[in-house]
Amino acid sequence: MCSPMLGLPTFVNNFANRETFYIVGNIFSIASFFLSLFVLWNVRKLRNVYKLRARGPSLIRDLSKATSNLSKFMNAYADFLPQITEEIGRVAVKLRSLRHKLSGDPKRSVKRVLLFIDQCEVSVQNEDQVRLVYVEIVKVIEELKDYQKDLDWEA
Amino acid sequence: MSTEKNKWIDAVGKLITLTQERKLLWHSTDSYDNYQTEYGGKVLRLHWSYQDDEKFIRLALMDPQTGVEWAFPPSALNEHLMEAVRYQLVGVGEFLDELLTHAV
Repeated sequence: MCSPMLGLPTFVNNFANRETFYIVGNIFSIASFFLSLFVLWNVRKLRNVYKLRARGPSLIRDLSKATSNLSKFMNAYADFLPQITEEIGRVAVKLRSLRHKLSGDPKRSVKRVLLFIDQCEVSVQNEDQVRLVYVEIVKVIEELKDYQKDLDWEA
Repeated sequence: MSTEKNKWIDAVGKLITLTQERKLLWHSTDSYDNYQTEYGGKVLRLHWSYQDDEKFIRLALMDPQTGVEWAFPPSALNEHLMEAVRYQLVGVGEFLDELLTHAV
């Protein structure tokens, strides 16, 4: 036990002992741990935002081009099955690349579309499903465009 | 993205499917990129438009009785629909079939 410090008011003497310092020190250590986690989380988020700002527009442009091609090939669906498979594969690669740079709702939407794509087999019998995937891809691109615009405002 | 916006995208996606499957037949209303069709008692109009110096494809639903028009929110699908309409009207599919089957 620390001996009471002379000349200080009683309530200060009550707090100014070793046990109190241990407790206060522990509280600050735990708080700083959570603060570090918060800073790390923010740094990670900022890094992703930076990556998205740098690569996002070109990835979104590529995705738009791929869906435009997809739409053209679907004018004669049965005749262009290999090309449709190729374009959907290209879209999946771009979306996977984008997924790591996103967070929140847009990330969830991209994951959902990737799940659709993974479950979709391009075949003559599956035309309805492929068309559904195409529309879902367009939806996610529109969402990403909106998200990109929001980022421009945040900067 | 809002469910409301998704609904419009679904609707235009459906129009593209119907156009590509030739269940919705369009016709040109004048010389350049103005198209029209009828569906569910309404007229659908597709044409280029300008707003704030920006050129975009406008898809509008018109009531034939009153002439009142309502435009779909712009999206990339409007461009895809325009492509599908051109493909249908030009007869690209038939041309390719003809070219690849009969040409010597």
